[in-house]
Amino acid sequence: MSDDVVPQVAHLIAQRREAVASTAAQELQEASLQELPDLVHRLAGKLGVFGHEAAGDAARALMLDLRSELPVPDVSGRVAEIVSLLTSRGTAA
Amino acid sequence: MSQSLVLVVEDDPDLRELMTVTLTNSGYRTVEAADGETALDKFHAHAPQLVLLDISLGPHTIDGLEVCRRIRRDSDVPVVFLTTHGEDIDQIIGFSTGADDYLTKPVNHRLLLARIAAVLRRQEGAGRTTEVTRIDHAGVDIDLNARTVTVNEQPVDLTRIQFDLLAALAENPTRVLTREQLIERVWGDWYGADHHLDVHLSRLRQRISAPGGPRIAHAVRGVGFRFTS
Repeated sequence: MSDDVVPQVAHLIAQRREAVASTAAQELQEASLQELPDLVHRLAGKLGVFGHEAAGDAARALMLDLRSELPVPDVSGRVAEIVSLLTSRGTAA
Repeated sequence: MSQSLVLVVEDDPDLRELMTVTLTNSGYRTVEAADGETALDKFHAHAPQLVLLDISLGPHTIDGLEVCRRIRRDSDVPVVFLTTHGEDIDQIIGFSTGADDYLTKPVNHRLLLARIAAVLRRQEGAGRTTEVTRIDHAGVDIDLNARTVTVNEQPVDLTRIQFDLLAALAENPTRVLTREQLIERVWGDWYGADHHLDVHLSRLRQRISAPGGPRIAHAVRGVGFRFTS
C-alpha cells in the first residue's frame, strides 16, 4: 500500500470532522427511544474514524447496553453525555 | 491487485466516501451502494472482484448478511463484512453466509487496505490451485475445483476461510502445520488477532463433525495442527 494514501484520507477526515460531530449531535438530540439503538450503532462505528474517539466509545457502550436484555438507566443522560463530547471545545473543532 | 473493482456497501455516506477515497487512492476502482437492494443491482451490473459489505444497512433495507447470502447463490466473489466493534464476531461467522473475512468499525484505513489485499491474494491463490482436483480422506471428500465438501456423502457448507483451512490440513493429512503456516496459507502476509484462527477452526470442526465426520484440526501441543488425530 502506498503512503500517498495517508494525506488524502487525513484530509478528508479533517474536512469532515466538525460536520460529522454536529450532525451526530443533532441526530442524537432528535432521535426517539425507538430510533436510538440503530443510531448509536451507526455512530459507534463512525465517530472514532473522524477523530471523536471518546464519543465513539460512549456510543458503543450505550449500543451494547441497549442490546442487552437488562434495563438501561438514564439513557437520556448518556445521550446528553455523547452530545457533550461531540460539541465540547477541542472535540468538534 | 490494483485496478480490482471493489463494491463498497455502506449506508453512512461519510464512511462510504472515506472508504472509497482510501481504496481509489490505493489503485482500486470502486462502485458504491447505500442499501442492500442497490448493492445487489450493482453487484450484478458491475461484477466486482470484491465486496466490502456493512452488515447493518439501516432499518429500511435487507441487511448485509442477506445481501451476502444472495450473492453466494451464484457467485464466489470475496465478501468482507464490516461490523461494529462489540458485535458478536463468533455469531457473525456462525451465520454461514459465506463471507470471507470481516473488519470491525471504526476501520483503520491501513488495516482496510491490508485485509482487502490479503483476501484478493487468497482468491488469486485459490484460482491457481484449481489444477489439483480432489482430496478424499477419512470420509471427508474435498473437491478443490468446485470448492465443495462432502462428509459421509452429505454436502457441507463452508465459508471460504473454513474451506481453505480444511484444504491446507487435508493436503498432507499426517503432517503437522504450525499456526503460522496455516495463517500464511489462508490469510497471507497479514493477519489479525491470534484467537481468530481458533474461532475458524472451531467452526470448521463443528461443520465436519455434524454429519458424522472425524474430529479434524487435531491440536498437537506446542506445534500446531494435523488433519486428524
